[in-house]
Amino acid sequence: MTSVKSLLPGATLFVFALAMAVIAAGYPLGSLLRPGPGFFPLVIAILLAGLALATMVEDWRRDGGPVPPDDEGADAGRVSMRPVIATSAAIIVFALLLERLGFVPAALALVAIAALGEPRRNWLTVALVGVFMSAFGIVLFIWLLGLPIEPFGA
Amino acid sequence: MDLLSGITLGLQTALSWQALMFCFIGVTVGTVVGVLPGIGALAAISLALPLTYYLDPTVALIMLAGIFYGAQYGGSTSSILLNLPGTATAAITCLDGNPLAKQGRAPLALFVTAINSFIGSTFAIVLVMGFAPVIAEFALSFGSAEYFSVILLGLVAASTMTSGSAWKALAMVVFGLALGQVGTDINTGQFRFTFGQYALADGFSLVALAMGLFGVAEIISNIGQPPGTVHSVGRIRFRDMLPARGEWKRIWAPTLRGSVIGSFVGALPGTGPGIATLMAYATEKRLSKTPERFGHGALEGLSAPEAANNASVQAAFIPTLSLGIPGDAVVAVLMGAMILHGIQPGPNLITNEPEMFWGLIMSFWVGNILLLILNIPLIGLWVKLLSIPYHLLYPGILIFICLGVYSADNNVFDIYVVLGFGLVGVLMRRWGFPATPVLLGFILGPLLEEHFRRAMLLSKGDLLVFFERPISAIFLALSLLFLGSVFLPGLRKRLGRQATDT
Repeated sequence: MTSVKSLLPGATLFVFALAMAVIAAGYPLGSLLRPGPGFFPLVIAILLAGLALATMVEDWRRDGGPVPPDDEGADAGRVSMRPVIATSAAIIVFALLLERLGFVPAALALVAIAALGEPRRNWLTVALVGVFMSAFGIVLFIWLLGLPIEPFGA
Repeated sequence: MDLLSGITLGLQTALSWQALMFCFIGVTVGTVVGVLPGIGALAAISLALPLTYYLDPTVALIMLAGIFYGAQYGGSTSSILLNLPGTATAAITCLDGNPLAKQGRAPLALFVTAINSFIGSTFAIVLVMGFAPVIAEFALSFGSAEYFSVILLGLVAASTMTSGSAWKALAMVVFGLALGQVGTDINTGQFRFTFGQYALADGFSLVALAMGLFGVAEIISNIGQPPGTVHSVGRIRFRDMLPARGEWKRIWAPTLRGSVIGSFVGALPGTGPGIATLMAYATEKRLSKTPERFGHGALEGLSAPEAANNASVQAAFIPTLSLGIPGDAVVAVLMGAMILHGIQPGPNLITNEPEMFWGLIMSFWVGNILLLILNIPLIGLWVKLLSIPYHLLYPGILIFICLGVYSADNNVFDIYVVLGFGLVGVLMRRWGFPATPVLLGFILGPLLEEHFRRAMLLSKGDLLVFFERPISAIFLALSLLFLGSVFLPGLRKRLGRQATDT
């Protein structure tokens, strides 16, 4: 069922727009003379819903054909789940540890978990990268820029 | 202020030791991120943005702008040697630059690129000096209706002048507008879409959005990709760099045409170097008597897009500095930087902050000369940089991204935001939605709403005000023209086919 799958991008956007419209309608809309805080979001949500439908029509028509590349050079190829999960976990753990255990443990954990996203890895190099980034981060962010975080501990 | 005293003031600012040093840092960092595939100017500027809070605003801008145009120089290097665009805008350079490298003429290709980049930039800088003050003076008479229409024109131009799907680009501009709605409504103080999170009261952080969509998404997409093979260049001798006499003849006309096309496209609000290089390449191919040479190392196909690329980057500052409307996504982040430093970009900038305006423009000259010096003798160094494996780089970049967003507000919440937008960015890439329009919509959205509401108050709720005021009507008509081009796909198809059909 490739045709149904090709509608997924537009449909996702449409649902997003719909949710936005529902929330926006809950804010005071005002009038054209004095547009309220809900006016502009509602107009945007409706526009977005319309454009989402337009992209669905377009994707449906081109179904099966190659997706033309956009001018950012981003390829529309498949993204494997492994790097997505590893990178996300690495960032979440970093955020959790930063203000609790300090910058160095957070950085080491990030480097280690992110390395799991690779098909294969050399733990010695990973450790070296971790140590280097910890030292570099302490010098730049804590000593030079004075961020209110500690190398170790909260 | 007349041109001459402007230039003098600008030189005084740009040649101060502090400005020189940060200009040098900016262009060097720019070249590095440009050479390295996987980090673009946008991610680099967003990363450097929090580091500039401590600098004088003018110096900060000089450095950030340096990263922007420096990356354009560097991006071509990896296009030529690796057949892998270091920055997305250098993709066209691969077409004829890489075949030249394969023929053993990499030094020539690199030299032509550096010189053309310099010529393109120089041409556009003169235009910025000439036009920005004039447009700004004209724009002083703008009311809210005019601003609304010109911002709308910028957004429409940004989304319709793309080589991908115009519908998707338009949808992404509006998606960006939607994201810009999060936060406190300035007129009433009402919290919108904050879901009880006080961290969202000021809206999403620009740095987090940009780094998520461009930085994190880029990293996730690159992990596990097979590395490109660096084309061996051997020792680069200056003698090999110079084009032969017959070759000069093939270079100069495309360079000039590329500069003109690049300046024009770059000066339009909302359109960036991506489309400029594409148009320049298509034009040369069409004008050429031997179009079959394109894609096999034609110097014309290398010169024109390179000149256009750099010209458009500099020309993008015309609408930014004169109207306060960014010419492209990267300049939009620079504009965000100005606002963070408490400077409101717009027609008043040139009179209120002449030192910043002229200093910035003069720093473009300084920076481009530095780049020429950096690029030609140090080319070997940049080539070495390409041999650093990606898996050693990206963990460091991730830490930079996380601490960068954290440092803006000292709030861990922003790290989750950057991850969220990173995942959104990955999904967008997969589905062929461009990310640049999102950023433009996000930055311009609040301005658009403010001017709309103000115009409505002044006109007593009459929507016709946008059509009755002549300047506003012209902007709206132009917007319609751009939109019309979406419905007349013949022109767009021709453009796209010419550039990719090699």
